[in-house]
Amino acid sequence: MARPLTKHTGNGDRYARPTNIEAVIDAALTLDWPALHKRALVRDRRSADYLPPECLVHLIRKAHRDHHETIRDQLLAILLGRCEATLAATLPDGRAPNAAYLRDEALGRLGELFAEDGTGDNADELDYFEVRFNAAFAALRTDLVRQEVRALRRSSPLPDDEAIARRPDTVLHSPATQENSLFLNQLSQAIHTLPPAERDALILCHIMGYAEDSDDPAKCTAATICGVTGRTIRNRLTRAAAKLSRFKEDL
Amino acid sequence: MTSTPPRSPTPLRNVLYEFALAKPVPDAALVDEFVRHYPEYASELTEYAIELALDAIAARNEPVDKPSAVTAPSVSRAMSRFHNRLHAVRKGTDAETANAAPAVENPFAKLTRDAIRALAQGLHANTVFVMKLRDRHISLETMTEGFLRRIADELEVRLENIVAYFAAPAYIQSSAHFKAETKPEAGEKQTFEEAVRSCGLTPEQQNSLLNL
Repeated sequence: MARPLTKHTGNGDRYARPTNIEAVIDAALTLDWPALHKRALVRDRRSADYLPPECLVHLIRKAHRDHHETIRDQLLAILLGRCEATLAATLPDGRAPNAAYLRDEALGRLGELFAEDGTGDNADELDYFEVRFNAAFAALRTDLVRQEVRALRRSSPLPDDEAIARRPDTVLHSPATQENSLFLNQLSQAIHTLPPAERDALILCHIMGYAEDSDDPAKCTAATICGVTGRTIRNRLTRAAAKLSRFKEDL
Repeated sequence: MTSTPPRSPTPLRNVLYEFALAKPVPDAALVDEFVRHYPEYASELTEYAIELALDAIAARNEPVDKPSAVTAPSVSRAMSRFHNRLHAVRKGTDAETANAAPAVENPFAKLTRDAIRALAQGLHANTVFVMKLRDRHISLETMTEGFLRRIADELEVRLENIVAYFAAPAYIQSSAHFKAETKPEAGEKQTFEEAVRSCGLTPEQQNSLLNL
């Protein structure tokens, strides 16, 4: 049985792995090393033999605690290889001038987290990665690159199509389909070409669901977050949507 | 009059993890909840939420991982950082000191030409294969544990030392000559099987190594 996590949420609740992850870990713990190694190398998520990254994190930590250095290092290299593929998709060259450095830094920092596991003030930081690896890795990566990305949000301008501008919200909250994946792929690239102010307005209003502005001065809106008037937010949304209409024409 | 000590603030990174795990795609309600809870990080959380939302778009679009036959140099560098940091944690020193120090000892460094030949013989391989091992051109994660134990025995070093050595990035001999003005960067590593197959070993030698 997998060792329980010790990290707590801000509300004091202890984090728990999803049930399916617990089941995969329990099954993996019964395998001998050659069989486990073989399964760890499977990278097709559709395969029945695929071990999710949450499971690999658990196995690496266990191998580390049990002083099985070879197993630990081989599994860690496999996990880092998967993360490298994720980084190539989420932070490709061109998204930021120093994207290669940022990818390296994220991978290296993840490696260091395993070295620090069980020590220091944040001894159970890797617990997050056993709950939802991709989200935790996104947090780590985004935290690392936040400052750089802010500085690099100096992009080119684009025009008006409310339907396109609002579609990200619809797609993100609906089941994955081939059509949606294609749309998201192109949309993601298009959004990254928007100037930061327009991009933020688009994300705040159409993905996160903030109101553009409000008569209630106490209400948090896209306008209050960005420190501008509601009219400015609407102008930014209009410009962003217009630019994204070019993207629609390319679909 | 006694003053109550200020509450120890939750580190920003932990707040970001918690935020990231709360919902697949952050929304206004989640941001508001976290900002109320951690007002000191209000701007970071909002900014981060935007990044996560963008990230969610990219992540939903991630292709299915394709199997990779080689170890990327960035993975080797990350493994190196892992070992350096581990060394620092165990020694109780900080990461900077560890990064500057050679944490991983080269078990091949003291081998003479004859010793290399003897090692090749002991492994039932040849010197080309040993050179690939020495220069870390073979990815650690594709080596079998049996092979790692065998080479640790042959070199008379601890298993963890040999593992740490192979986990580091590929090595380019400093004495090598290059046509380019700058020293080239080490490239991707071969898999264990690729290395075995491409060193001019006999089928018997190949089988012997692959079955360790």
